[in-house]
Amino acid sequence: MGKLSFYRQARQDGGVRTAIEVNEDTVLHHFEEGGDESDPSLLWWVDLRCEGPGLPKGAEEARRWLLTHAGSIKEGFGRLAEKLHAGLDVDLYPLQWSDFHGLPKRVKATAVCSAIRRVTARDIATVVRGLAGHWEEIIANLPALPAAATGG
Amino acid sequence: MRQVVLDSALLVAHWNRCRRGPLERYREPDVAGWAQKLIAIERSDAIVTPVVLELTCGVLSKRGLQLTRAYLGEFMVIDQGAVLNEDWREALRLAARVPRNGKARDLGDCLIRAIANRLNHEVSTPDKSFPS
Repeated sequence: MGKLSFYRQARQDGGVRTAIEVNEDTVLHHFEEGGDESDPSLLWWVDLRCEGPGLPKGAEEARRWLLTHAGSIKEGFGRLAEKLHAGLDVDLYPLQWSDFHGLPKRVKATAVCSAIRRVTARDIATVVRGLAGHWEEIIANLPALPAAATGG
Repeated sequence: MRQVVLDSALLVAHWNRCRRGPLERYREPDVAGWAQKLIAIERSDAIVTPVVLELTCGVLSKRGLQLTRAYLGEFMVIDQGAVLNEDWREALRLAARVPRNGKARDLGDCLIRAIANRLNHEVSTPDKSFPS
């Protein structure tokens, strides 16, 4: 059973981390610096967690898989954003959403999102809608980690 | 795993959410399971020494201490118990920043943020008064 995860998380200082993990090892990663005063506490995070047979094992394979299935992922994120905008509550516990259509059989995909502090469900809806709208661009432009960093 | 420190408030809130009734009805594997559930949700098992201290300070009985140790034992203390001078200095700097709302800062929160920053981790907290 393989695991493939995408996540994006925003810090209080404005920094945003985006990454892809294969079997819990980070293989693609980008960090946009925030303000001068470093504050690592998270404002929100959104994960896409996929589990099942036949998932990719390497960085570029993972990128291709997420681009190949972009339509299903974007459509799922779009519906999740609508639910969030309608007032679905994201409180202390992260919201888990598994209603993705059109992915390979036996692959289970779950979007998990959490908002902290003053971030509302509507703010998260905007984030998720942004992921849906720019999915291919985000995935295509994520830098690979150097081989030493991935243990490869 | 995400590089995120889970703070004391998050661990306590999760414990309280899992617990139903008196602690005497639970065994160590039960609370270890609660911890594993939180680790799976957050995709991180990272905590820091002040989190261990804060949870231990909240214990009210011998049985509570045994179960708290079993719960904490599932997490990884990423500073390995080594709180450095620079962590204390940074915590003091954070403590000295009086927010506009005038709310008092918490020693543990300041130290958690300082250590997480040094170890390049983000902090997951439900605590609205976490120092910023």
